[in-house]
Amino acid sequence: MVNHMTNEKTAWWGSRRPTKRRIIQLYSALLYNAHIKGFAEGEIFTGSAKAVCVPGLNCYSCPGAAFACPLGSLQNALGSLNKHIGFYVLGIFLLYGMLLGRTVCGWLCPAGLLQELVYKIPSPKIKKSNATRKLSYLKYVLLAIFAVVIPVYYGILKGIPVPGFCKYICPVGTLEGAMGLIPTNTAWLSMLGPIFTGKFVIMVAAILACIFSYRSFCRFLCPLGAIYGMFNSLSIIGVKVDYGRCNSCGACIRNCKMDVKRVGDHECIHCGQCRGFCHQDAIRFQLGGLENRKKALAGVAIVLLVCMLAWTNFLSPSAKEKALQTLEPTESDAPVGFHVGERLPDFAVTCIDGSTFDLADTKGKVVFINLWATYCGPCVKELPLFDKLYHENEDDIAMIAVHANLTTEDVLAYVREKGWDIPFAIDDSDETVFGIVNGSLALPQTIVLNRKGEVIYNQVGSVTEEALEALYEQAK
Amino acid sequence: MDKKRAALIVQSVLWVMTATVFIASVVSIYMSGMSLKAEDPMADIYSIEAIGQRAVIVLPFLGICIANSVLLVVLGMKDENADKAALHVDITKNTEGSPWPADKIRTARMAGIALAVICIIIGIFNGSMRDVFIKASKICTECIGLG
Repeated sequence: MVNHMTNEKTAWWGSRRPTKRRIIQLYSALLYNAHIKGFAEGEIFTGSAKAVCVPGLNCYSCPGAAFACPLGSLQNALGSLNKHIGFYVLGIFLLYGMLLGRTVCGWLCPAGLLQELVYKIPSPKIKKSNATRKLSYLKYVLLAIFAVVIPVYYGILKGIPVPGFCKYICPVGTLEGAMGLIPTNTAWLSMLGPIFTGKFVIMVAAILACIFSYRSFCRFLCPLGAIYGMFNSLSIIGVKVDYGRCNSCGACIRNCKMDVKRVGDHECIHCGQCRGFCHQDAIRFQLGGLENRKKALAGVAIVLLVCMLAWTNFLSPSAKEKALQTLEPTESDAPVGFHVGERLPDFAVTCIDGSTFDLADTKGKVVFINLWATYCGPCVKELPLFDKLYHENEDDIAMIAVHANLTTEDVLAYVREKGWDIPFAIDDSDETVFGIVNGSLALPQTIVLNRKGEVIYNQVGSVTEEALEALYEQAK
Repeated sequence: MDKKRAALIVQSVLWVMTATVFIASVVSIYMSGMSLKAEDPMADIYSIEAIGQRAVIVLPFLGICIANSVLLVVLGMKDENADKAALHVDITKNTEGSPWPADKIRTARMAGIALAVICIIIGIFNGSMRDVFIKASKICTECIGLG
């Protein structure tokens, strides 16, 4: 009886134990999102690993993300083509494409893993057909319009960075970024509007579609898969057919859940499930000469994961914490701090035109502090409103727009080109001003002080002209 | 219709209803929030109170769906046709898939990887790697859909 039960358990586990592919998918998801404490703290990781693009789709605004998203980076690079060519992103895509192609989708993409898990929910399933095959070309349209044309048009012709796919569509960004950050940053609710509403609807629809249709986001919508698909015929790693053995029975294609027409075409994600259906043993997984080094690869992978977990969660310093430690409280009735009702400690910064902005000199004036960056579309759109308000009330308002400390651009030239005429500064490497005002890891941010120097508003997100006027009236 | 099929259809109807309730809730928050904003520009469209009110409706749907899914998994109910071959699809013979000879493919791969490495090295020095870091570590809220 005991033996029988043990055998049953073994059989149950045997049919359900995770495959190598599933383990690698889980590993990738954990490695990409090694900054686990970010989920609890609601803070994104800002260590230097963020300069590295991972192969799979993983939003860099996810609190767990330790690396950059290749698709977001591509759109940003296209939007700043007039400044310099994004050779780095181009090289990354070429490298991943030539090495892996859509093996990335099948093995190394957290979004792919999520879709496969959602597909496991019991329901009637929609099988692939010629119609779904046609629908799979939609991702190329989305790639062209949202990931190429919109970023290039707005970035180069209008001077406003707009990563179209991230901004208007990406359900992965909504799930990882918005859903990851908002629960621990409830103040951010105030910036949610039509774009979030649209993206939330897309996210729900995409998840629902994945219940009924295998990897529907991957097959029909994902521009990253569309790019990697173009490299599929050339990629070194992936499933390959031994044409000498293949008798073209079509079992591999008919049993594949992706919209492939042949093994290894632009829709193939190299998951390797077709090998189980091939009676000729004509399909093999090619690792590009690494077949005999699997154990060494696994060892390196484990060491890398442990190092990333330790570094991102315990060792990487936070610039903001450093800045806050250096604060010295000033004399005031209100407690020193950056929350509404508290009083900001005095600080002085050198503006980009050489003048100095000293908060201590602004007593009796309403103070507007704006945190921005040239690469932030909404920041660039709202700054003319600040400029207008400042010049209409120059005697009563003190204003400073502080650019994030990280930039590869000549901010002074940028500001002059735009014709804005308010005091501008660039934060120092310690993020002193961002630290004092609780500058978030997200932009834009506006801080308003009343005549007593007390914070009456400190919010991330764009402000409208009406909101600025209302804040000024409130602060008077 | 057998019991298994009926159970799966009920399950799918539940998921569609839950998704619809989710979408209707977020749209209703947005619509009522816009009305508030028309009267007061400083009013928030989304608030904890508004989300809390809708969550009372949405969460029971989600809970029922999840519980039902777990039940179906435990009972071993799934669409058996899902794992069967798709018969009505166009296919191409695998042997027709490789228009290039193997040596040319190998050369193209090596050239592609060499070009990729060169691009990455140039990118490290021309500031495009720094750009990736900047945009990934100081995010623009509207660019990720928080707007």
